Amino acid sequence: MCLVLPLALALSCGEKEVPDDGAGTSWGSNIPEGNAELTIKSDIKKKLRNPLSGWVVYVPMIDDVDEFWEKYENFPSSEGTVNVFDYGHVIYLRGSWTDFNPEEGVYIWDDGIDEVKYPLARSLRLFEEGAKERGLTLAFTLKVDSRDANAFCTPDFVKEKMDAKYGSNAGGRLVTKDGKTVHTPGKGYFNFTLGSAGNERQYWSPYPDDPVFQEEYAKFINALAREYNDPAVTEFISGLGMGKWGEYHTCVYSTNDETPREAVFEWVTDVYANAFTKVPVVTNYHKFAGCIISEGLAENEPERCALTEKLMSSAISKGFSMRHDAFGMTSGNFGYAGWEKKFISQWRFQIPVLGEGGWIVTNGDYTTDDAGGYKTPHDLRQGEYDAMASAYVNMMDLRYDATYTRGETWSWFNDAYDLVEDFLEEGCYKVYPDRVTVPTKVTNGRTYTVQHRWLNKGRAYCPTNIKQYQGRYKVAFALLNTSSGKVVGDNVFYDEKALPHEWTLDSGRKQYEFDVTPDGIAPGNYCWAVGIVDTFTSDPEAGEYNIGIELAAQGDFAEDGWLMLEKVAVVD
Amino acid sequence: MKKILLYLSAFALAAAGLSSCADDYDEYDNSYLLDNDETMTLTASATTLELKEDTPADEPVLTFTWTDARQMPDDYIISYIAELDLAVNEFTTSVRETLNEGDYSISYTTEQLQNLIIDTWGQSNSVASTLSFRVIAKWEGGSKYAMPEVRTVDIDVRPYRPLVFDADNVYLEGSSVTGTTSQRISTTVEDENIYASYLQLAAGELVIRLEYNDVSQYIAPEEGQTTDFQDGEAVPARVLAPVEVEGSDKAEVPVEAKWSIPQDGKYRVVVDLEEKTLTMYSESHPINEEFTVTWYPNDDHEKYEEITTTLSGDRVIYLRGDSGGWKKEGKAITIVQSLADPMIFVYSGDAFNGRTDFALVNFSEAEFNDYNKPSDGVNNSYEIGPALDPDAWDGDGQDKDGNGSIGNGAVVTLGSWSKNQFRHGSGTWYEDKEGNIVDENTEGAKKIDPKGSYWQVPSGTNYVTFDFRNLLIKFESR
Repeated sequence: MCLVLPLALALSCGEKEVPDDGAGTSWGSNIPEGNAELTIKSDIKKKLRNPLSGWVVYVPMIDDVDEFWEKYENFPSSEGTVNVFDYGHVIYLRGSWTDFNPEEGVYIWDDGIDEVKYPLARSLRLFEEGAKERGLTLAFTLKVDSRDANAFCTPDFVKEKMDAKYGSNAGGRLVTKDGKTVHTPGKGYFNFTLGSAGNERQYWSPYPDDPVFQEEYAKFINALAREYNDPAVTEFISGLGMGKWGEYHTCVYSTNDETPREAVFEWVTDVYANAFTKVPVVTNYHKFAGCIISEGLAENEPERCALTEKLMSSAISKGFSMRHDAFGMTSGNFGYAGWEKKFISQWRFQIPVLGEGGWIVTNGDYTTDDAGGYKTPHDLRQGEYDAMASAYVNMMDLRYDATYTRGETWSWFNDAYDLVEDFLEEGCYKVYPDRVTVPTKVTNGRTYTVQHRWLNKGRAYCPTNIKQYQGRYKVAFALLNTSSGKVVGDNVFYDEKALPHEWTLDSGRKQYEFDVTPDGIAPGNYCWAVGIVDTFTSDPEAGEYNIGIELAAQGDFAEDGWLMLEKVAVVD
Repeated sequence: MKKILLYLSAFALAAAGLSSCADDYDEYDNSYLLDNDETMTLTASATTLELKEDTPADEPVLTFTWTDARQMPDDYIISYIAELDLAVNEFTTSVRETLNEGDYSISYTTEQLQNLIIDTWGQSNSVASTLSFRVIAKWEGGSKYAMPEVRTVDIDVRPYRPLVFDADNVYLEGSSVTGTTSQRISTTVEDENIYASYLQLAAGELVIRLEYNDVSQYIAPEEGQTTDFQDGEAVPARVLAPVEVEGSDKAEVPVEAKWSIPQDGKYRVVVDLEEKTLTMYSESHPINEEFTVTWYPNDDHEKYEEITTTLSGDRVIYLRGDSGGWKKEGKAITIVQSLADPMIFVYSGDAFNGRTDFALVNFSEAEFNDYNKPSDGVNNSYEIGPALDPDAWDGDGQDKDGNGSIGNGAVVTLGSWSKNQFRHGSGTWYEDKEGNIVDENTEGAKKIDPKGSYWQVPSGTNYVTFDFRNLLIKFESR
């Protein structure tokens, strides 16, 4: 690419025609004298790696990470062998608090950690190294509740502190018998049994409202943020870790009711939002968030649902994005139904939504236990796809299965490859400028006008408005050196008025004009280029400008990702 | 959601316009929906199409082209979507493609169309299917709903019948076949995928025609192979379709499928559909030798005269042991000689089981009555029985691994060729570990008695293949 670049520049920069595509600009003939007007076509086929966009590659903290890379890079599909990472650039690691913080003060990302004693440290290192090598990012979700895990999801040292503090009052008990669950509250945590008769195993989980838990959990989340609040490494953090499956329902509070529901939610969302300032944080939207129940019709639970709306709005105001993990489950009791659809429709194009399918295809119960009428795996995938499309999701999930030859990822690629492609082509945001005018001759120190018009051909919006992204991604025009393809000096000009999150299918095209003042450039020929720069990871002083959002445009791109536009002569 | 509601409203309104309630909507201005000056046109490169298997894989054979849809204001964003389906399915099972900006056509290759018709939509390859193609120009954005432009075209596509190395019937034809223009040959007794014949051919051309699903195809050598006669060589082969004669409805045998027969004589022709090979043998080829043994009853050279036994044609042999009811004369069965290899015989008939060996010749045959009297103390037959690894053998013809004790017999795995070659002969003899016949006093010599060693045959066994060339046997339940 690098070697080809000068030739590509020489061939393409400044030789564009302006075909009449019938979509005239509203600036009409009011083009600054000396500016060339260019038309750029969209390219929805190109696979883009953009923030909070595309397929999420969901994987637990497995031992054999090398096998994972090898299998996923050579994955069977109905269209032949594919590289899964061409479709999804986020490795979504799903583990527990204990996995990442096995002992007090010990974190598996610590430098020099004993990987024999803590084998998950090796897994994490291999995930990180492999992701970096492949240009992928990581995402995390770390749950604390053991009830669905058959493992201790909160570290033992937390329980020891609770035992020391509460003495004989420590530990309540949760018993499920004949389909009924009875909770006898205690202090700090509750004990429960998993397994069948004769094979019982004793576990415990913390009360979310317990102060010892809250203190220790906050320490952990802050430690996690110290390591992973890094936009170059981390795509997002999925909270909040509590409740069954970490989805924040079926909670058990020390009060044996939902009195602490709001306070706990506000506390934990504060912890996450304050810790992760540069990386998006996400939480589940469903009608029973933070409730002690998980099923029921919304119309029968108006007070709970009203509080959920309040809590979600609060989280969004703190900077949370939304996810839902039961897409495709059509039950009004426990799935993605009326309440969820209505709730998220109020936030369309204001916050990004991440989607995860609810059913597991290999179980087969989607054919019998869902009113959606699914008969085949493709039916299920279509149902999930349609439900996620109705939520304008930014990301969909490819769930891991240890066999690699069945399960969700295999099913998407073999039962519904068409939908895998459709999501990338139509579901993900596709932003690009379709018209641009730039000056073709400039003098150092003089000011010129650049006109540009943008649109988004994808269903999802480009979430540059979320708190963690504010000020991060900026539309920029730059002058490139035709031989190196690099920005000339600091001649990168940001149009702060051009906001990618405002470009949606509903909004049509948005046009802008702004002034640029090239300077410090030796006379000669250069090339105008456009891009959306990630200002958080760029280093202007070192002359490094990272393109943060790839454009869905046809045309010639410089190695650094700039879309080359037009030849420009710099004269004395 | 807004768009869908408007879309439904549009049709509701249009329908209402035809009803008696039309007056209720007189004030509603829906002209922007209905009077939209559509401009898109759609053309197909053909209205009928017959797919050919030999078309290059990436060559487009069917192209649909369309023109721009109407111009809309800048706040509308247009996309073009192409769909292809069986006409009768009315786009419920369509393959869908969203086009990139600037793309106004879409093409399909032979392989794509063939796979769609046969695999995706499950249609027959013997009839033409009517396909429907439509292109939809739709708009997003804008202040009002914009009616999509939709154009549809139908096309009849006849899939090809793929050439497969398979046959319902196999015929020998060409100038080398005398007395008839086409001679049908049959499958061998041992393998339904092998067709064979041992017949008189004249010097000339031999054509081997495979008839499959009522379609003829011809065996030709694989690329780089020759049609020249190669005595006993299994030639890798392929199938070719008949070659259409230009300006005629007739088709000819491809020149690549004309095999050379060098001179008049008997030939054995063997077509293996599974291995995809053709093997031809001249009369003088060693394969035509039949299994022949010379022997002395009880291996007694003084008492008896030498006997020569040749296995040929349909041959009666004898089950002995459990399966023969422990009668001296055994139980007669018929084995049938293979057309592909005269040293292969097959038994197919009533099931038998238990300890079993076989007598190729038994005492009850008249010519042997003189030397198989009860006073001889043995059954003076010519036997075949399992050959056992001397290291796993106790010297009395029993397999130690197969339970070891006398009379249990060698364990048989149904459907598999025997692990070791079988022994055949009359009387007993001694072998060393390498299988050489040695004096009984030789150190390590083992006594061989095929008559006293048995296969332990599982119940249900009704099919046995004897390979006398390689001295292997296979028991099956079919």
